[in-house]
Amino acid sequence: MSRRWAVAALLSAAVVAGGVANAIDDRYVASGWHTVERGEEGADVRVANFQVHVHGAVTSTRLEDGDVVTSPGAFVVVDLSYATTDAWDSPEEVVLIDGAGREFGEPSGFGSAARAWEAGPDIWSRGTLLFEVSADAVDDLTLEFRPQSPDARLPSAVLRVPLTVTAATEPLTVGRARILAEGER
Amino acid sequence: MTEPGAITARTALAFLLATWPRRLLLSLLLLVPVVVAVSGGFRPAEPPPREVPAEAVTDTGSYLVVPRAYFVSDRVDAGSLDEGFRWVGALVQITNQGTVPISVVFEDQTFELPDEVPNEDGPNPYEVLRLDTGTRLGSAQPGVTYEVALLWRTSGLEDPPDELTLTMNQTAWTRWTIEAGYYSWRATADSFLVDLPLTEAPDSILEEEE
Repeated sequence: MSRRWAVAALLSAAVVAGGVANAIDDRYVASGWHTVERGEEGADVRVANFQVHVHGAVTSTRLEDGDVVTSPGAFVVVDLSYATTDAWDSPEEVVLIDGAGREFGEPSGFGSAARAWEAGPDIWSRGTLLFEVSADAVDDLTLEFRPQSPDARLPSAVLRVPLTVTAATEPLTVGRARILAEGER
Repeated sequence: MTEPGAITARTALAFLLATWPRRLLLSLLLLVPVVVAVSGGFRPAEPPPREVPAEAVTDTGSYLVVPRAYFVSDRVDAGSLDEGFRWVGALVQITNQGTVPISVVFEDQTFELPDEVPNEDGPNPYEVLRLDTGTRLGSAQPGVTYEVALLWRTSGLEDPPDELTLTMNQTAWTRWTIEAGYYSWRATADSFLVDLPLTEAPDSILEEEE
């Protein structure tokens, strides 16, 4: 009889442990468990194995891309420098997020679209990233720099830097990243 | 069944069948599953597709869509698209209503070609080109309104009909069941049907004549 009770108790303990693990997984682990570092323009900020320096951003509805193309929304070009702290690496993703929480990724289909580039340990390079955003998002944009791709099940760190976006009168241009001399940003 | 159990069951049955109102009630209860089964069971009936006219703004969930027209052409060019195919294209305006970019070729279940059109690939578009730049759209950014051509490769439609019926599935922001914490737009059972008139392929996506 006591053996039967022991089996029943072990079974219920297993069920309860499974339920608790499931609840923790559901509520905490699987909900985008990442650290948000906050930085500002014109300053060096560290996030994971990267050091980032955001110079600023410009916007226009027109982009010089072989021909001048006009966006149904707005083009935004972000000017930034970054280096790593350990080895040569490139960030998984750099996106813009507006005040309403909408996320804008790198557009494809533009010949001049510069992708996020590779940087070295304390070897800074400066370049530009192109985005195409909704016209009503331009006034309230934050850059989010993601060293690793966000995985809901793994902890990670991202960097957010609020952008000052100035309007350009000429069509925007995108340039290749170049390596900077020591001390330059 | 044990002897006491059998006695209890016989008593209960005798009680239920003792008077006519009880007998009627019991027979009605027994009929319920039969009636439910005959009328199609408890599964929600699939809502009929709704017909929408071309040029009407339609809310499909992930997008606001304005379906415009369709074309058939073997001169569609987008750099790396394979040549020598006949393409059937639907001209639509789309605005992503969500908060993240939608990869229009890889994760979009909204648009489907009718079954009767011979299609080399899946039911969703093989490629999506922007009409303003003539290049691939890739991802539809939130809140940006694009005029695009949805493209499928086809081996039929030598003699294109005056109208082609495009299916626009309603989509819902759905949590993944296999990997917790991920969401994407999934097609629901609800959909819209639109008859697109035949038109010429836009010049911006055609290869240049030699």
